[in-house]
Amino acid sequence: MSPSASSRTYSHFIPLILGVMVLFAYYRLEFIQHPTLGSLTYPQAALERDAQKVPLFDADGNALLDERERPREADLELNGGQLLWFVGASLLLLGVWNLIEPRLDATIAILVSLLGTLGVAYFVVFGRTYLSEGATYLGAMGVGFWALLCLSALLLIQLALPRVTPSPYFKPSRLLGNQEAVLLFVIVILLVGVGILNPRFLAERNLLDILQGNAYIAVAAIGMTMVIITGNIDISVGSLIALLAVISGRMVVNDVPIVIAWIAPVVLGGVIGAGIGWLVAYLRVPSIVVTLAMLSVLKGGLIIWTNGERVTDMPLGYYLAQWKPLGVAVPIWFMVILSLVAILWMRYSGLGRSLYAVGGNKEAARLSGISERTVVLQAFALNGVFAGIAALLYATQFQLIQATPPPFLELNIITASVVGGVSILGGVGTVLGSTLATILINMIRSGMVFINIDPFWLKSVQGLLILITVLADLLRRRNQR
Amino acid sequence: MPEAILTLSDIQKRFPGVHALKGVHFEICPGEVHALLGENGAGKSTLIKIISGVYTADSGEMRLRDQVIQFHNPREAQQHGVATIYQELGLYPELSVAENIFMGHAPRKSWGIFKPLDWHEMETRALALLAELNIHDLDIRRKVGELNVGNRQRVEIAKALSLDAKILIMDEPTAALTEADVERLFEIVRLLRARGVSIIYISHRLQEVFELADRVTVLRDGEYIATQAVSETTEDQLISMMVGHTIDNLFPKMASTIGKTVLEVRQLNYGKTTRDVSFKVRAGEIVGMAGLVGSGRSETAQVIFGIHPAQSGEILIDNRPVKINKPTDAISHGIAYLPEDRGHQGLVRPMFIRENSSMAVLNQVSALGFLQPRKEQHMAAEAIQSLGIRAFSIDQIVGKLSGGNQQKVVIAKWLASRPRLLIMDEPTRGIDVGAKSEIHRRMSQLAAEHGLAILMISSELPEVLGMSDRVLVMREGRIVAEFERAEATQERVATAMMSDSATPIGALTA
Amino acid sequence: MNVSTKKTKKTIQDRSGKKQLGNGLTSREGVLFIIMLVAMAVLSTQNKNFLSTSNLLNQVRLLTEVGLVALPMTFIIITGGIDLSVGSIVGLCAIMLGYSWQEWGLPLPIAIVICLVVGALAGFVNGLLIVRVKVPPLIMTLATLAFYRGLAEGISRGRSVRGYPEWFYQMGQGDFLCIPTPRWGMDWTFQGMNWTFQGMDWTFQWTWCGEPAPTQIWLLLIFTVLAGIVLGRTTLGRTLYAIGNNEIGARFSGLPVNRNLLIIYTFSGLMSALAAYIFVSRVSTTRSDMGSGLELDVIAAVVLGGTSIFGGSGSIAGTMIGVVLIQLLKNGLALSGVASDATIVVVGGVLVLSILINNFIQDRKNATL
Repeated sequence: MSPSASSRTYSHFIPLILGVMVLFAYYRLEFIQHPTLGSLTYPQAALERDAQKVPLFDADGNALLDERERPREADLELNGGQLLWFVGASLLLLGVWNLIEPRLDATIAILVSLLGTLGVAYFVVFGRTYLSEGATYLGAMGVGFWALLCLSALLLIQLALPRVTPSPYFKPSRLLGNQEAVLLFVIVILLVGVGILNPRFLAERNLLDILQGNAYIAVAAIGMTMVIITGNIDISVGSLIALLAVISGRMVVNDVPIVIAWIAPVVLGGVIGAGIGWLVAYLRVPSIVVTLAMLSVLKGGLIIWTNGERVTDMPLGYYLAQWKPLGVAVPIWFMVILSLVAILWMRYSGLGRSLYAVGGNKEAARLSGISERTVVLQAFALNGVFAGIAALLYATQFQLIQATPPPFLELNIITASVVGGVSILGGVGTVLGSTLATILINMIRSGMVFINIDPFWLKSVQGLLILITVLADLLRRRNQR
Repeated sequence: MPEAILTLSDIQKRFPGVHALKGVHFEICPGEVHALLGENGAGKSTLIKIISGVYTADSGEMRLRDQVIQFHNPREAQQHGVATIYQELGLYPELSVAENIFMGHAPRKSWGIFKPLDWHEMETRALALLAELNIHDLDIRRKVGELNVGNRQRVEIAKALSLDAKILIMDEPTAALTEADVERLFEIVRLLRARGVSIIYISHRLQEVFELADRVTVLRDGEYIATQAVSETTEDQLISMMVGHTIDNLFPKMASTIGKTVLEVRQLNYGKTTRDVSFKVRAGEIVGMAGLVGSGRSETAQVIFGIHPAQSGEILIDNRPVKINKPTDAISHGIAYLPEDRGHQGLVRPMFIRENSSMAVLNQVSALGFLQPRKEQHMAAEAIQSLGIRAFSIDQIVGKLSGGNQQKVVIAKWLASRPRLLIMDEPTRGIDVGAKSEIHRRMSQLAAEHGLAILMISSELPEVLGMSDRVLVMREGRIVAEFERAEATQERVATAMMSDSATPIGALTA
Repeated sequence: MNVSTKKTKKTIQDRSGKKQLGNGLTSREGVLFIIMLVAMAVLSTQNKNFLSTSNLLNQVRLLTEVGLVALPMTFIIITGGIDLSVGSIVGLCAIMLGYSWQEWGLPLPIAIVICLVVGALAGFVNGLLIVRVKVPPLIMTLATLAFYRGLAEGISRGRSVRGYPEWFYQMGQGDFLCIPTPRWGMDWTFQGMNWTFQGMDWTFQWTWCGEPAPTQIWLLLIFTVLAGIVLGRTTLGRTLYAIGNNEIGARFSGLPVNRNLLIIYTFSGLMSALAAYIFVSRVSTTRSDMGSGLELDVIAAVVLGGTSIFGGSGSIAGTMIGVVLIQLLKNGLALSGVASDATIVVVGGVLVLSILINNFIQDRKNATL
């Protein structure tokens, strides 16, 4: 029996049918006052303001109106119509994909559904405002909220859908074992929960801002995920990022062409990563020890070199991370694109799969002809490359580059990977998970501010998160046996 | 008979202290199921490890398709079409069935310089492979770690097929399988045979040999005994070929007075390996426990010793019920367990004799938690003296001793705890003849002169018959036979171990 | 059969359960000791101040904290585990000390007790999850590294506590009893490549009660001796070596593996708390970032002292020499004008080198097993 035959079970048509039904309902319901696509994000007050064409943001996305003049919280209400529309559109999209899905790999289908809805949402809202003169307030439940909500629904449905035989029925229990699904659940719950407590949290500008400053963590987490999957760990990556950032800044201050200064940290990161990988793979020094030592070597080396001075006065063209193509900041683009590339690479390339092999069963990997040493070395080298890219984003974010790494940066990166589903025992984990986890952690941090929890507790929450994830992983493994 | 695809002639292999293979011959033809029979220690494992590239022969010739060849590592063997079916080792628990089958040689699409894995093709081919083996109920996207043993084995077989293996080695493949899985395995073996794949099949279960195999080769003590067509032999003949040899080892069994019951277990249960087990061991008695690998003997012993607390049933010491939840409990009741895996369970190999010999009784060589070196030295020196351990100092690293001497250290260690019941699991496995008889003599002495109750688990029938006052036979977790010394013969015991015709026994009479 | 118990008696006194390359001076501890003497000699020629009693005593003050924590760390690494959370426990206990005194108004001695209890509890939690749930020590202590540090930050909210009473500083900055001091003087000069010896003035004076001894040194000495005795001469110590070499074998021999592991992790927390007390007392203030990076120094000292990172061998004597060496390193670098932050580079390098050397030696031993 071939895979295509089985997917013609009726449950694959459910999303399509549901989507059509929901959209139909949307267009028939009367509380929708402006049945054109453009209106679904405009609450009443904003509509009026829009009629007067008062710009709220300038072309770069900077706020023009004073804080006091921003719309009141009453404007930020749940609008059922918007919800309906997005759900319907997503389901429709998913339904269409499911018809084509048999010929495409599940991962691609998920990714495309994810991005598809995001893209549609984006262009519906941003596209219109980007193209029209000035910008108008995009308030109410920001696009981000709805997009995420629907993506989650999409992903959850996708993941719960049956594959090949035996069971053709919708199985929600499959989701429990799936870390990405759990993460999405939590993200949605968080959004709804904090959003109810403080609706400002949901303004999409806020959500994007949250991400902008910390997207580089997600990028570094990509490399870290690869390393942990092979059964190793790297606790020196924070110092490495700081060092590479300073190197890049110093280069550009010393009149090195900007592009070179951008590329240098990436290349250098790869080289250093390969060095660490060599110590671990060929000299068999446990990775925890090598990177514990590297941590201090890099940190101290940085301080010796810079004498504690920050790097400032970089030329204007240097600030890559501040650019906003299509209204979205570069770090977020990097995060999304690199995650995508990494997800695809880890699924479709031989080296990507051999990471899982080496981490899952060294002996079997050797029998399959996979050289553990090469794979581990390459994993660490890649980790260095991603650290270099993260350093690039970190360096070009602000007007100055510190001589010390942000405190506990490596811990944040490891937390992102571990919470994203990577098992410290090796052999399990995905980049999708670590990226989602970064988003989640940032949401938690921001959410804590919005509901007035002291941000000083963040680190304990992170530690707890690691513990809970590890415990859950251990329990799952024990139940398996 | 078509041309043999693999021939081994006059294979010799030695390990420190053991001459594992003494000029063994073996050959197999395409599309043949060839069974390899022999007791534990006969050399079967060593032979197939040479075929699969784990070991290299010391001397002798191996020919593959008429070309002399030697495999230096398992990967080389795999590349030449020899695959071994393991149960645990070869799979990735967190990856899907399809990926497990094709890891390392996955089908790829060709998009210019990109060569991405073709998952669809992988899944289609995996399904096709499974279909060829008549397996239609395996979800190829499931994680292998979630599968039961039978399914995992089938994945292994599919994997071997995907590598275009022409020679498949199956070592005790049915040991952990359910009846249904065993049937399916047989089906698959027949299918493979029809396709021209050669299968080397090791099993102790004679009925399987008669059901599946075309030819059978018997080894004994590392020597090649005979190769026969299955149709031209009988079970009895095979058994006598496997076990019949002149007992030139002395088993100095002393007469001893058998006293009261020291250990009694009633309806002991633990998982699948210990099912409704009941028996007694009395002071001064040596009870031998025979059975195949996986019949549950070691597991039952470990339940009694407290490594795994029993799920139900009773343990009685001196006719009083006791609770044993951890080894310390067992030790305090006078039970000692000499494990099967001497190196990993019985000793801490990097440490000295002195340290190992006192490990079970640290409280005897210490006062208020402080070790008393003199007492410990004394204990170690005495141990060396009384057991005849060949070492030049009590501070010699145990890992460097020979197998026999290591076992003596283990015995010394447990004797120091002054046990009433000694459970010895494969006490003379992998030990040279000289040390063997010394250990046997000591065992006899312990039972006869010191009144110890001894439960001896062994896969060597002569040892069981030579040393035991009573013989218990276990199969699949149950006690299936009991013989008094006088009525126990090799044939009877072997038959009880291997043949289906013996029926399980319930509670034993005293 | 001749079993020489006579010959072994001597070697037993030298070894006490650890694997060595040889006996006495050629043992790993012996080699390290010689290296230490050499290092001291080198440093003394680099800097006149180095061998001054005041500098040496000050160094001892500084190394006490690392030294105390290195003791249980030795135990833990011998069993094949690791404890990365010690630095964070120090921070947490320091905060609890200050917080319970200032915010809760408890008398200072009680606050000190609370500090110790919190540390022991933190270590106990580590041990509990490692033993019962079988979380790998690496990831467990990595998580608690974050968690305990987070707790410290959360409780303190970035504020620091000052203004302790005078007697409090006795531990960290004060003196207690005295130590004997030798005084010697040697004067020689060399001239270039011709090693001409121009005069030597030799004086030697031994005073029994020469200098006041830093208070914490007694604590360190007591615990070092205790730890050394426990490791080398008690059943607990023997069990730790057994666990590190073959945990399964240890369990099958009826050794109380779980209980002992729990004990050493709790001990680690307790020592971290004690180190926190001394630290706070020494710098007169409590901050939530205290103890950051302590784990690096401690692990480097332990590994440098000959304990194998894979477990199964190690000694307290070696660890102590390792602690001293690390401190000497830092001192030497500081006296040469290197910034204190930069010394961690060297410590890190030393750590990797020690492991490589240990690995090399271990490989040669394993080849024969």
